[in-house]
Amino acid sequence: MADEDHERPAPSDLAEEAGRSFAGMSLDDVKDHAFWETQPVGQLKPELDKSGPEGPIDDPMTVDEVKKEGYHLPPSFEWCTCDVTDKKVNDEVFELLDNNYVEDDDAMFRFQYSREFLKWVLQPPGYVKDWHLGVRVVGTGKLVAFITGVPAKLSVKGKKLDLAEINFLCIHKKLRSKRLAPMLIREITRRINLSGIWQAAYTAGVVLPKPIGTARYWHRSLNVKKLVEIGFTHLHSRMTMSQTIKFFRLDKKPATPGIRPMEDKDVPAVTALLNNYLKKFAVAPVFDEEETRHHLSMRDGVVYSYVVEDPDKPGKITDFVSFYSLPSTVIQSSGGHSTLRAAYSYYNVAGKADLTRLMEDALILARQKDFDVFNCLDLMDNAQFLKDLKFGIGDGNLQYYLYNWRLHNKLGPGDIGLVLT
Amino acid sequence: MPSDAERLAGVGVAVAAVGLTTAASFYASRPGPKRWTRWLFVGGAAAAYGAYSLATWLEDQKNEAARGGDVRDALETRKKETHRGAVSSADVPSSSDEIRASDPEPPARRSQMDQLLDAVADGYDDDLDADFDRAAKFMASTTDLRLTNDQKLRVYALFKQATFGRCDQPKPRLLDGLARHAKWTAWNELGELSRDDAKEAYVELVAELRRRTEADEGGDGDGTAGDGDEGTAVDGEGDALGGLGGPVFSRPRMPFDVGDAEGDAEGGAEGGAESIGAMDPLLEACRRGDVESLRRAANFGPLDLRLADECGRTALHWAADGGHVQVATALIKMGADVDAVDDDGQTALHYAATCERAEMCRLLLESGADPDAEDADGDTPNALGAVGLAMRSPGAD
Ligand SMILES: CC(C)(COP(=O)(O)OP(=O)(O)OC[C@H]1O[C@@H](n2cnc3c(N)ncnc32)[C@H](O)[C@@H]1OP(=O)(O)O)[C@@H](O)C(=O)NCCC(=O)NCCS
Repeated sequence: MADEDHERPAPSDLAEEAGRSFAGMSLDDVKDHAFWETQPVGQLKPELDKSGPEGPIDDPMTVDEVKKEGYHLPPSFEWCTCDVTDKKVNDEVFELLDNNYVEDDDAMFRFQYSREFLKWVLQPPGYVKDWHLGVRVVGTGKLVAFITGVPAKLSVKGKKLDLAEINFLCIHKKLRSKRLAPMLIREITRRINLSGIWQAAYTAGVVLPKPIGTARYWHRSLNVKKLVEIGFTHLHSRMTMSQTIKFFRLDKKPATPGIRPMEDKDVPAVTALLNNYLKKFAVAPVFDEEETRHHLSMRDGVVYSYVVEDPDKPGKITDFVSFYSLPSTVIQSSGGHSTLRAAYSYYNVAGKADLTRLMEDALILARQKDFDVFNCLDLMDNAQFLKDLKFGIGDGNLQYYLYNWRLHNKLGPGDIGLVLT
Repeated sequence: MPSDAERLAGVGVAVAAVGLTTAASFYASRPGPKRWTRWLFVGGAAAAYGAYSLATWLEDQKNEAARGGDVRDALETRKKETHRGAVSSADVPSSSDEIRASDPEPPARRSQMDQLLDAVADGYDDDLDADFDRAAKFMASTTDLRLTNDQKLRVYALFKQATFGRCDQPKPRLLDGLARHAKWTAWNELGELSRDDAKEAYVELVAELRRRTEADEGGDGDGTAGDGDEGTAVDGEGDALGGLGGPVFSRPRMPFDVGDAEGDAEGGAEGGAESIGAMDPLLEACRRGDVESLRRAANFGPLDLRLADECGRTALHWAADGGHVQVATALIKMGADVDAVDDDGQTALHYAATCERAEMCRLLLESGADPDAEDADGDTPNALGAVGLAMRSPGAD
């Protein structure tokens, strides 16, 4: 019996090349991580893992000990701080991401974060401009790499941490595999450390040292005809389109009595509802009212939030649902469609209502807003409703990470209460 | 499905060759003068294909020998049936060899015949489909398989071949990422491997991987997978190998099986679509909008246009559903009944209206379809918007 494990009798340089080629997808043996193995994160190789109690991995440092000047970049590049409120810079960031950010494996779709979306997620209360980090080409000024941090408060197994949420790591396609990513990560870490923050949370599709938990995407068709036309999904070979359309059809209007768009006056009630709900998860954000106002107020085209006001007790908010808009470019545009309009489940709290019923309303509301698909991770209590509401399992895993914070055991998706946009 | 040693050996060699080939292809595509490596690439591909054919051939021999009395036999026999309608001559053989022995058509025709049979063979073996769906569902949900790169690539490639057929994606550029490149290469190398063969190979591979994982877990402490660490074994998805980084872009792993979901909801009463017999070639061609196959089939003799599938859907229903105007036009010309109803009392026009296919609505209405035909729920095409759609269709005046 042949055994795949015993192969690759290739000449050494060939083998080496192959080894590098497979970087990022190796699962058979623990892969080397030249950069991540130097960082205060859980390690995949047991021999590298510093044991200790749950908590910070690095010895405590003071801001004085943090390097004051930026790390050196290769001569033709320079750091810049990107002010996304500046129209020109916002356009540059939008374009960099639009052309170079995350794609599916078949290069059919690429995320297209909107300009408004970028302004929203990058400027929560207390945001630090310096943490919106770019790399430009000296001379031309072209923006070729980007990474961001925003401040957040997270509760990790009962401990409240002020940390940074890292997002939008993106390197121009022509500059890949040149070890620029580690430089961006080092530099943003330095800038964050300068504010006296020593922890970070981030997610990625790849397995790096070392996930604290893994969640899986599920997808609910809202406009299945379009989804089939653009190749996002396919019809089962024995199913007609007509049958499938009927199967996914939703009621025209949400059914929960008293459900309505969230308003500013709801902020205190929503904050209380959320914090009360989220405390049951091992890892979850803690919102103050300003943060709730920022993250969870209705913003057309960006984030959609709805509350249920008890019909019997006017003013009493019992439930909350929200989703954000993250379209993708259809790279090989077909059937006249150039954009996939995806809604992503954000934070949902079923107080009085049944969660499944509430999420069905969320689907209906998303359909009303002309979204094609509703995506949802299987974290928090979401696993409860995915099957009933006709979500199909996705091919993407999202890995959760904490920087400089040790956890002894990997969390299940149901322990995770954090959604990073 | 029992695997025999030869077949496994063949698949093993194929996998090894694919691995080598993939490695070589990266090497070859590296800028520089080492052109000779391209030959290694070609050689590897040839070896992989050769080994795979060998494995398939060995399997066929086995089946030939083992034939008799089992389910396979029944399936084979059915495969040999003409398939009501698509081709009307009495017994159409199932393999090209047999065609060569008995087919009166000139050589060019034979291969077209082959193509037609190939094209429709996919929806054919329902046991295989069920096995495949099970294997794919397992891969979609498992988190405890430890796979090597090549195994992952193999799983990926076979899955793609089985669900989409031949790789028709443009070759990714290297700067699109090496993982994607490797995946494309693995898929593309399966070439013309039929979807059924891919399904079969997939089912066996998954079974083999499961066996191995179980064996590993029993023995533990063998050097190769000695990490035993969940961090490296997390994504058992088999499809997305994970691009570099992300809020990851995810897509549904599998087409949604309405039958499955309804079966679940109703306590399994209905069973998935997988439990239904094979799809008729004529209906399959109409589902795909394959007007060429339809014409070729028609050349062999008159088609049975009243033929319906297990839900009462005729060729015209399938064509209307997919919005395949050319196919529908051809069917209507051949005399298809525009008012034929499925088990729910729906006509092709109901389908076209539900799917908002404006041009199809127009074609059907112009061909005399009844806009007021009531289905089992009392819905008429008109109420579903057929007439409005037809008026909005580009060709309407
Ligand atoms: C992710 C991306 C920035 C990586 O850049 P790259 O040029 O391929 O990689 P580099 O050579 O610069 O750096 C490689 C190092 O970065 C690490 N890395 C790669 N992707 C990473 C990610 N998403 N998060 C953190 N580290 C990452 C690698 O593991 C490697 O370190 P290691 O040797 O310790 O394993 C780039 O591929 C990209 O822009 N992709 C599209 C957008 C994207 O996926 N962004 C991630 C969003 S969080």
